[in-house]
Amino acid sequence: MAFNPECLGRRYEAGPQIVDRERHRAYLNAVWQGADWEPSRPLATFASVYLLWPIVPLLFSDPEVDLDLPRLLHGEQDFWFDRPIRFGEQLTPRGEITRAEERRGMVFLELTCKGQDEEGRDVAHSRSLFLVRSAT
Amino acid sequence: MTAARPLDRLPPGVGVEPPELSLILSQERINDYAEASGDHNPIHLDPDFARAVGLPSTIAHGLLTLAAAAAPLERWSAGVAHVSRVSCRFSAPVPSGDRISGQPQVKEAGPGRMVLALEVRNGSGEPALTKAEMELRSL
Repeated sequence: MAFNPECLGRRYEAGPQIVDRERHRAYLNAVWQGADWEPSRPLATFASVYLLWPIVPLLFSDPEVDLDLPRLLHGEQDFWFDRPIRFGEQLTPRGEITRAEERRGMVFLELTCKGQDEEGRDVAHSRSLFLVRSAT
Repeated sequence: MTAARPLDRLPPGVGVEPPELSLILSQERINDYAEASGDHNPIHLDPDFARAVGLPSTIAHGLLTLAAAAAPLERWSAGVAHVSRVSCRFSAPVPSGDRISGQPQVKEAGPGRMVLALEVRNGSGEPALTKAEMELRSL
């Protein structure tokens, strides 16, 4: 089965994610080895852990999309926040395919995610553009 | 209630220039990032797999490159501002063992808001991140 451009609008939801300080510590150690720093709030890019990555495996394993994963590249990334995110809070990630097209053998797939807090507000956002290179 | 602190001279005590970036994305660091992030794509971890899909070697996660470039800037502005946006285009791969480097620049600065442009090159001097920006807002 080939890439299905009609996957536009498909939605995914992951279970609630705790913005976990311990996991952030491991993340910071990987990102910045030897950093003598304990931030009071999670790094902005930690949204990849609590917002983006809970959704990505759902997209990548979706047979209705059928991405050629070995040829997939991460082309662009944008994270933005309506307020500072706090350690210990719980966010529920939701994702949607907001662009799906194939041009000259290259697939362009945009995934937009929102993280909803316990008051029901979308406070963290992610936009990812994935590219799939042609096999030929 | 206190008024928002202006960012037109942010952050105090560290000068105008944001800190320069220069660090090596070793395979060990890439492995650690895979564990911490949950992204175990074999192009980052398995040299044979990476070569089989046309890469010269394993490459760093794009999000690791972005995070490594952004983290020192978050520390630079800690206590004064929070990051309201961080974005980039992943323009060239960073092979494992490459040194990434760059000098962030203040692109915009005004009351309550600052935008930094992040220039990041891989070990071959190619732009690894382009159109990379971080927006800070006062706490």
